[in-house]
Amino acid sequence: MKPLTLSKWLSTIFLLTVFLIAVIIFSVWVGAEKIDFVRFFQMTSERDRDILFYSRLPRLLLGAITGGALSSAGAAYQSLLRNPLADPYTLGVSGGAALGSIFGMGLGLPFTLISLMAFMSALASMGLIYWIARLKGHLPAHTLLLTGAIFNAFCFAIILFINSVVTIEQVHQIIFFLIGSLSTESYQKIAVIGGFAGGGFFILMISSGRMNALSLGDETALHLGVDVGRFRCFIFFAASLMIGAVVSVCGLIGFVGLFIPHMVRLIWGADHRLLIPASALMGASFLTLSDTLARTLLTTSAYQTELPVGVITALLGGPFFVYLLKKQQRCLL
Amino acid sequence: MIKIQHLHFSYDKTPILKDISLSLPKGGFLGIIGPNGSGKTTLLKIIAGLLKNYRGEMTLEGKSLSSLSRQEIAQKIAVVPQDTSIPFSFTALEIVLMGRTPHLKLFAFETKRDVDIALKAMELTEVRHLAHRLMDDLSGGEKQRVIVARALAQQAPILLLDEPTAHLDIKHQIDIHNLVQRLNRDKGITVINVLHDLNLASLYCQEVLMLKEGSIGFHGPTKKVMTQDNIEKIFEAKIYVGQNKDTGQSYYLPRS
Amino acid sequence: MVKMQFFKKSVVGGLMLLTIVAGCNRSQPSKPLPTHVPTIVSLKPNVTEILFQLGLGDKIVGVTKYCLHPPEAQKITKVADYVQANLEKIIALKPDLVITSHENSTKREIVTLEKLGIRVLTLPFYSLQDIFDSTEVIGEATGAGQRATSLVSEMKRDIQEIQDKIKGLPPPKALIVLDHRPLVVAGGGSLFDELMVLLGVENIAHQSKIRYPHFSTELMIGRAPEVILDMAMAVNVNNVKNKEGFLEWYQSFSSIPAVKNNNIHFLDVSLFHPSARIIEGIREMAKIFYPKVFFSS
Repeated sequence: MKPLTLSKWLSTIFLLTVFLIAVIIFSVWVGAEKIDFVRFFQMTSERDRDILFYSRLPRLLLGAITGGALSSAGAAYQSLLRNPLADPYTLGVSGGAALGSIFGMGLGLPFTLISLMAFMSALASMGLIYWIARLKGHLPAHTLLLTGAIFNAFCFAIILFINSVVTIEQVHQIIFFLIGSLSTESYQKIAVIGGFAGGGFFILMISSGRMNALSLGDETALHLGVDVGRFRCFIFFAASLMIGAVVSVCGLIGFVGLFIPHMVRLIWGADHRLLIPASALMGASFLTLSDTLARTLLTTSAYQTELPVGVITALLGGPFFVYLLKKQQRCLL
Repeated sequence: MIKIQHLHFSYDKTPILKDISLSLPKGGFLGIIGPNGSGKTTLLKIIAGLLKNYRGEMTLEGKSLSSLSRQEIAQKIAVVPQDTSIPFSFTALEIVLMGRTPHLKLFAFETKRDVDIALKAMELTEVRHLAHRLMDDLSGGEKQRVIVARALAQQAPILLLDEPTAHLDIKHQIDIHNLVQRLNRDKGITVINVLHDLNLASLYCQEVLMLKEGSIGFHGPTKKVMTQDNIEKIFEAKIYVGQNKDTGQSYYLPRS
Repeated sequence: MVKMQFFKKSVVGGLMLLTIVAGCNRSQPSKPLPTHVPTIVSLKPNVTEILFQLGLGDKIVGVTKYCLHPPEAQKITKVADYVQANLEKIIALKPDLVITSHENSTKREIVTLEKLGIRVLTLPFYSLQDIFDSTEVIGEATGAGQRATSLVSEMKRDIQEIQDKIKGLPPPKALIVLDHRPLVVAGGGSLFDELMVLLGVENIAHQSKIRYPHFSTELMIGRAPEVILDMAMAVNVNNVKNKEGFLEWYQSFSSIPAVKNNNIHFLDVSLFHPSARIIEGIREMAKIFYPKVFFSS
């Protein structure tokens, strides 16, 4: 694999962007209710307009933003923690963000504040997990995973506790929230989280140049002139912002941040200047397609119900995670 | 070039380095030797700018080290650490190219010139043919030579090495040390090399600093300082010093 | 002497056999209890309502946190929330009978109570027929059998009355919404669906085999219901802010006839607890689905 050049970067990003647009266009037309192209373009049908713009498109945009955010944040965590098994879900950061969101919901805060609470809890979780798992400047994989699992369990315990003291209406809200779904949201909400996620992504992009050196370890990165402390703060901040934003709307969607960066590395190499944006684009496409599957798989059957997208990502991502773990174990031996 | 005055360093109230002073001119070649725990690596880290809370003064080309930014230090000092693990699948050339990081802007791509410098460095350490291979697939020795190439690609006037050839076979040990020596003589690169191997120190270094329990034991030109007496005092072990009849070079062996 | 021995043995044996047989039939009493009315713990809100409707309110010693109807029920000791029962509290009250429903019940708790000698009645409430049958079973077990039978007849009569009023009217297309994000509706096989069928209403989610499917919003748009009955649990019918918020949410789907014609109605879902109170719920439903018929009456 040749090292990254500007032309390779541009052509890959272009290709992936075109693919994402194709996925969105495809997904807009796919669904339980049939849409007539001709009738739609003549703009005579209110029903078609509602279905496309108020049922499908918001979901697709939300899926693209969420998939992009989770994937690029996952790639960023992996470089910072020097561990290909890091991902917002397995690390416990998503769990922390969910807890923050639920607090916000329980207090009845307006949506933007709930998002901010999610962001702050994501940041706090990341800091806590990092501090717990750190051993003499290294973050061994098993310690990190264990810390993440315990932290997730802890967050869930608190969520279940909250569940037992709130009203029954809120119980339902909380449970559905945890499952992880892209159900129709308003364009305002989408704009808000799009803004947060976009801001975080921008910070990741600027830092991506130094992420290569960072992924070699703190000392090596320092030797190569990278201000490790400063960049670590930037990256954790940006990733937590993105994760807080998407978790506060969609709940817990797992494994996307694990699966996608790995695929991108396999195809285009580990250079983070390409990995970060490519993961975002591929993640966006992947989650959009997964959601299209989730909302059509059973809808046309006798059950006529939608699956939460978290189910699809777990079914695909779970076995993949096991495969990665096994591969790592073999390498260590 | 590098001047250290009355350097003291403690870690968690345990003193590691006590009152170290030395001055190394441009083009100098200093070897640091001493028993385990004498503070060799710590001293190297401080010179590399990695550890900051020391007492005393340290200047680089007249400027105080603490006044320089990370990037500025990296443009002046390149480090070859003892060993590194790389968790991601980078190719050898990608790793060497990272040596150009101190010279790149925040989100820039490497230019053709950068790539040429990297390839040249790889030629010098004889890993050019491995350029597009993944680091995971290389042997320990090959990996280490790639790391040395990365330090060379930084094109810094000062080179710090911490036991760079510990995992290499004898041919590559000789090759790397010869290379460093050439760079020192022909290009005027200042070298500080931490070594366990007394023979390598004696063969390649112009001057030697012997540390014991954080303080300077002996310091001066190699031939004058590396005597049997001094070494036995520092290492508390019996050694035998011989002389190569052809070259007049001393060699050091353990004596039971 | 031998004859006496044999006689004793057969009596003892017979009694043992009878005890075993009687013990096997624990959940469904084969005969009504003796004349004294038992003290009762109710583990479900609808069971509480039924007990009050049978005039047994003062025999109830324990209810759940959510037993809010009738208001007198709120004064009774709380021994459970919607899913979990506090077994210690129940045992301390020494009830003669504990009544719960099949749905959302923990088998383990029931078995534990039974092992301690407390009688537990677990009844189904999935359909109207279940409501009728279970009411009668409760009546029999508590010595209120006659009252139960007449209550059930009254319920059947009321339903028939409503059905007569709407006979021959064109069936409206409707949807019952139970939650918004995700959109959860009443599908075929749910009690709500049965009521809609009873009232001759076309439930656009009738085809779904799941009782409460997560409906795609596009299905809601595509099938264009004329009336929407919103019973989301988060809707407190008296909470204006919530209602406004939800109405706003519906506005994005302005092509739906129910939205265009402002035909979205909010009801308290507890009106549809499987007890005699459901008649009230059915009446409210009928008013919403056939406004022209019921406004005059």
